[in-house]
Amino acid sequence: MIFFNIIILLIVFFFQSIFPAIYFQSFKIYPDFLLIILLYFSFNNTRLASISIGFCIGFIQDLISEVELIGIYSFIKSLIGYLFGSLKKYDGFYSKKILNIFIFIIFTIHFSIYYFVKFNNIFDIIIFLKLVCINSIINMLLYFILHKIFPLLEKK
Amino acid sequence: MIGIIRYIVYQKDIFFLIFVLLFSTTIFLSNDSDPVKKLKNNFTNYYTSILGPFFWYKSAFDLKEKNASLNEKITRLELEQNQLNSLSIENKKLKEMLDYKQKNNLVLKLGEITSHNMSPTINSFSINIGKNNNLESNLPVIDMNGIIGKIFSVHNNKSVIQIVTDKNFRVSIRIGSNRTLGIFVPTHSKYGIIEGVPKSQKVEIDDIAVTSGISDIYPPNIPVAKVISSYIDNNQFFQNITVEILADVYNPDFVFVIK
Repeated sequence: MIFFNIIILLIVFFFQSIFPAIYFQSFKIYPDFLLIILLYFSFNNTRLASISIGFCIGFIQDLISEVELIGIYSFIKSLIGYLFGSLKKYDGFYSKKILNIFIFIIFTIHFSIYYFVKFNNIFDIIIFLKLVCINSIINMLLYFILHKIFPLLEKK
Repeated sequence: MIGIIRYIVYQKDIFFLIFVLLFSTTIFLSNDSDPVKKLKNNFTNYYTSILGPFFWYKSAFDLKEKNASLNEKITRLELEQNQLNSLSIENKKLKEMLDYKQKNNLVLKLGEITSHNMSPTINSFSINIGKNNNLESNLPVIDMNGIIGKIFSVHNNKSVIQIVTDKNFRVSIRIGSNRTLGIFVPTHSKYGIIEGVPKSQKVEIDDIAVTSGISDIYPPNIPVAKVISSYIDNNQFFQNITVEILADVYNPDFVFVIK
């Protein structure tokens, strides 16, 4: 199972690295497949494991894409892993719609922290909000598509 | 202790998350890239703007301590400056005296004033030279302006000078274009009179009275006083001449003893 997970992770990393960028004004936007995979991993593991996986994914992502800001993804992904883990832990207390809202909020938190740190010196609240919203929406759509193929709470 | 361990195990997710976040932050902040530097700067700015009032209070207290320290420093520097000024003045005076000594043919011995005695009975100074410097009683004492007095008593390393303003002080002088003989007598403060100058002799204001040389103590031609007024009273035999002592009798630092 672990081997299978690693293979999936490697495929996703590869896919993430070759996926073409979407241009918004002068900013490049990439759908974060690793965030989606973290969501799936979190819903199939404990919260502690989610944090660990989040940290590992984030660290590798740092090494691949954000050497200048090394540590940023490991920080965010660990936190998001914890939030996804918490979401899974209290699964059943809320409906699917609420779950989706929470997932969207967590995506927003992820991109807010990322863009806040990345564009700290040229901080423009409008651009910042646009980037966060667009990224969150793209990832949400990606999640919906994947969810149709591989339901998140399959085990249940 | 066991309770703490239990709590940590129970909340392991949180503790692990904190550990991982701290680790990530450490990695992030250890980076020296421009974005991280700018981020650090921005955070420092936020931090200082939020904690500005606390810093202000702290700096106000620090300022008080610093102020006290600076006041102390200023006082010390002022004292040093005064000392330097004093030394500068002393140096200047000594240079002038050295120059005077070299120009003069007299054998002069430099002495420093160590104490003043302005009692009603005797006006005197003490100087720091005495028998050990081959001084004896009745040697004349001068400064660069004129006669200051004479040695009254001598000790090994100290001598007492009777000042020209002392009531019992007398000196034979010559005055005027005819170098008429007279006696200088102190009256009050730094003033005195010249006795024994006949009415026929011409004496003008600003004439200088100098030692006559007929005394055993004072060599001739040492300035004593300057005429500030003179008038002739028909009922008296001699002129009334008022003079002002030339020597600095109030603030002398150094004097010469003529040997």
